[in-house]
Amino acid sequence: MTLQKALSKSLRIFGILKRVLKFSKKFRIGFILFLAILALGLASNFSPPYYSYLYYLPTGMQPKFESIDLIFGTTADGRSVFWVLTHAIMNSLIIAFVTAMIACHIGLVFGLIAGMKGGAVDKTVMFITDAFIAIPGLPLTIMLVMILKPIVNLIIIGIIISIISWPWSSRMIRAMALSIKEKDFITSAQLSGMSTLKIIFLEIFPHILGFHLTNIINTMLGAIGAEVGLAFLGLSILEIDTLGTMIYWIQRYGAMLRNMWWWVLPPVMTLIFLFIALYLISAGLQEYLNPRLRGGR
Amino acid sequence: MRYILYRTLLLIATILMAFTLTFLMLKALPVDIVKNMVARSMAVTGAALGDPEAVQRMYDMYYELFGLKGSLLEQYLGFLRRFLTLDFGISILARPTTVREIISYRLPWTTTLLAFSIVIAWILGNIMGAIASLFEGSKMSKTLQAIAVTLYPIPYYVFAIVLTYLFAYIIPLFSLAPVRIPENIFSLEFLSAIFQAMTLPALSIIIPGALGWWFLSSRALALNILSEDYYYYGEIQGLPKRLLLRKYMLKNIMMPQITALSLNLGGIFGGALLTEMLFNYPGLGQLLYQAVNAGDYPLVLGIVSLSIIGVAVAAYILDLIYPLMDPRVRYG
Amino acid sequence: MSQDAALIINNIFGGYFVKYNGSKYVDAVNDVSLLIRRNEIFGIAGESGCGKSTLLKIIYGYLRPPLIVKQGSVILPLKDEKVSILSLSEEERRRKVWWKVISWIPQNSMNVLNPTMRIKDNFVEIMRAHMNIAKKEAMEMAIDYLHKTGLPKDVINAFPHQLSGGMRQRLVIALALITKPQIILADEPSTALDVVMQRGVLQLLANSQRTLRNTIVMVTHDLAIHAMLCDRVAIMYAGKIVEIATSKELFEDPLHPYTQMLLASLPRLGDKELRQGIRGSPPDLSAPPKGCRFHPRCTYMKEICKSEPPLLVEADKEHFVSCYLYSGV
Repeated sequence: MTLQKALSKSLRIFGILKRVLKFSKKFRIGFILFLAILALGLASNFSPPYYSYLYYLPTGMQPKFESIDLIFGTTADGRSVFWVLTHAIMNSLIIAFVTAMIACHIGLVFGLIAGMKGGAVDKTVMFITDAFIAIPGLPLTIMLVMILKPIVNLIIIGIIISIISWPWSSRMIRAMALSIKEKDFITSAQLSGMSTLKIIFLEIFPHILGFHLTNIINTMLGAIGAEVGLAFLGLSILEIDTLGTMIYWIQRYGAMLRNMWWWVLPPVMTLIFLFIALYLISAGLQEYLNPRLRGGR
Repeated sequence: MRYILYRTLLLIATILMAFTLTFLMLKALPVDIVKNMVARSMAVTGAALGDPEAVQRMYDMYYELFGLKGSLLEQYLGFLRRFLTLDFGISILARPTTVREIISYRLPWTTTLLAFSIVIAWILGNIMGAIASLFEGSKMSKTLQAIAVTLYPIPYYVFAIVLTYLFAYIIPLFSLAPVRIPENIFSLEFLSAIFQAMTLPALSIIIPGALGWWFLSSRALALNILSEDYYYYGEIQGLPKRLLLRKYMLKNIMMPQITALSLNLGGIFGGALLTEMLFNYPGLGQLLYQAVNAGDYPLVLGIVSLSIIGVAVAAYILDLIYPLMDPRVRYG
Repeated sequence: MSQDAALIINNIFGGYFVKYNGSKYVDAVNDVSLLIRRNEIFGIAGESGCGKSTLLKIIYGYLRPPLIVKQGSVILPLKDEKVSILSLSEEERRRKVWWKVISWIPQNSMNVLNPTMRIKDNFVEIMRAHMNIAKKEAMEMAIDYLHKTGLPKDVINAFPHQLSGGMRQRLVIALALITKPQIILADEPSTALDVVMQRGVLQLLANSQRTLRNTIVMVTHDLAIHAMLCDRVAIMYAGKIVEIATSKELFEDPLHPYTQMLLASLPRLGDKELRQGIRGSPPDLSAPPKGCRFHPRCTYMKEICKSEPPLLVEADKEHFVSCYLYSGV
């Protein structure tokens, strides 16, 4: 029963999206940019079966507009840059999404517990959170991926990146829970004898939803960056195309030295646009949620 | 006093947590990392192929090195000791040099570059953000704002690729070939070599840091300060503009920005390592890349544990400095 | 003009250009003229939003967008010259006028000190900015000065948050007085204080005025303060001065209907009757009523009040009022 109600309240997320779209220009630009990149990623479903074969196409060919395979040219190992890019986008987004789902929900749970319970529980949770924040993320993930290299896949990469991402959401949610806890409607709910769990789900969660969404976007942003970072060192899943591994192979094949701009630019530009899109979405959301930032000088 | 104690406990917890995670992963791993390593080691050195005794010795050494011998507690404590002292034995990549030796040779390069660029970026960004807030609405400020929003979300190393592509390949101002450092550290060649090696990596840390990160956060803080009563009072007092900027604006921005620096030090550091690698800068980043590619586990473990400990300690020091500077948060 | 004028304010029109859903102009100060004398405490009273703080900013020449002055002048007669404050550049105002001749006690003065600056630096910087002295000298003067004002000496090394609200308030007043300015503008100096502290602060101000024989322009909505402290009081309504009189006269024999209603709303000892509020609400200054701005709320409203604004005329000696009840049209 409660679950159902909580779920229906979670559906407010679409309401928030609709209102932010109207409210913030930043959000609109970011959202459209993101949709465009996502569409490119989804195009991977239409890739021809030979997309993954090496040396199927001529190597290092400049873009030619005669067929879709050649529209962005080919790589030094004879693959279509266009199709590789679409798969790379998709896989990077999957990693980002897996990370966000894991990290933000761990953060949500810990943040809510800390914020709602207060006292020693709060102190303990915050201590752990702060300790995790102080761990430099990339070195730790490098170590973990290196150790786990034999079994690593998209999901495991996501899990590893989550380990360094969750504390940021946890902090944010705790701060929100603390400020909401003081509000009148929570006090009245407590006085009316509602259980803590019910209060969290029915009264607090809907108010935190927007911030949760912001966390998800920010974590995705961080995760995409982290995967690229790992790939730089050759620590991503090199058999799979991601935006990170694309750049790894570009480096490996010296594409910049050979001035194969058609191979270098697509992943780099996509990354930059993706970062900007996600950032604009998150900034727009935050402006909408935080009235102090609203309007403006 | 209580604050120092808390922060110290936090430092210990941070390092222990990172260490324990690594240890657990090593333990839980379904594949035998040592077997892997011995194979690597033999491939690199080409030695001991026919000598089963030597192979056994190598196994023993690595099992001990990674704390895979003895009871669980012994293993944990033994590995922890190595983790804290970076005692990971001999590097596979550069036998017979020890991990510690290689790292201590590369470390000054990394610390110089990082300390230099992080500090410059932080100072520049904060000053620019504060000044931009005074000219809010002007064309200049709007342009800077647009640049900042573009740079802000991009990790250093992605920005570094753009820089490399621009200044090493398209407009070849800098060479990416490894820099030869002359012996005589007082010669002009030495300086020019350092300049060659450092400029691009430093720029790729400073530009996004100053114009993106610190600019945006400093501008937001400064805009808040502009609407503070004490700033208004300072203006009404007719104090000189420079004094207002320095003592009313920057000083009050500095406090939260030091905390922000401490919180983000890990991220900055990680990104900077990769930047080093991209530019063939003779620091830890490049070493890490080589170690990862050669499967040199001892060296990777060494670099990574040093990074974790180093960043955690640096953030710790920053956090202890912070209350010294902000009169409102003296140690409680 | 008369010898004893400290500040002459001529026909000031000023307000705010606000850009919000298109631009509009908030007419906060409309045709205000005042003559403020030396050695007096001059009060300006009115509801919040009637333009009294804006008027003060204009007098001081602290003009920050969106505040603009459309017309009018503020003349400051000094010993050897007459300074027109509004025709100076802000740099000149800072050098010649601010704190040298006119100083300011801001609203909410408990919380206006820079939290990261020691008290002594506040004094030193203000003296260095306006008195042309070296840092060391300034420091000695500051310590000496605090001693004279009877503030504890160790306060000088403290940061604002280490001091009580009342102490901070007294320090802000001390800061306003340190350069011995001829004129002090006080913008709601005691609002947000409890009654005991309020009394202390006002006492300090009044005492200093008595010894320094300077001019204080006191803006507050609190009529009790005006009655207690001020020599003369001007009543402001919707950007216009509606009545000026000595405070004795004003409180005993108010002429303008608005003043009468204001006073009628004050509680009196032993009176158990419910006080009467003023009906209606102050007008929106971005679209003020035509004619007399008070006419929609006035019980004596005549036809002419709707179209022609009344002039400020001397109804009695030293008693000016802007109302058709007295100008006899």
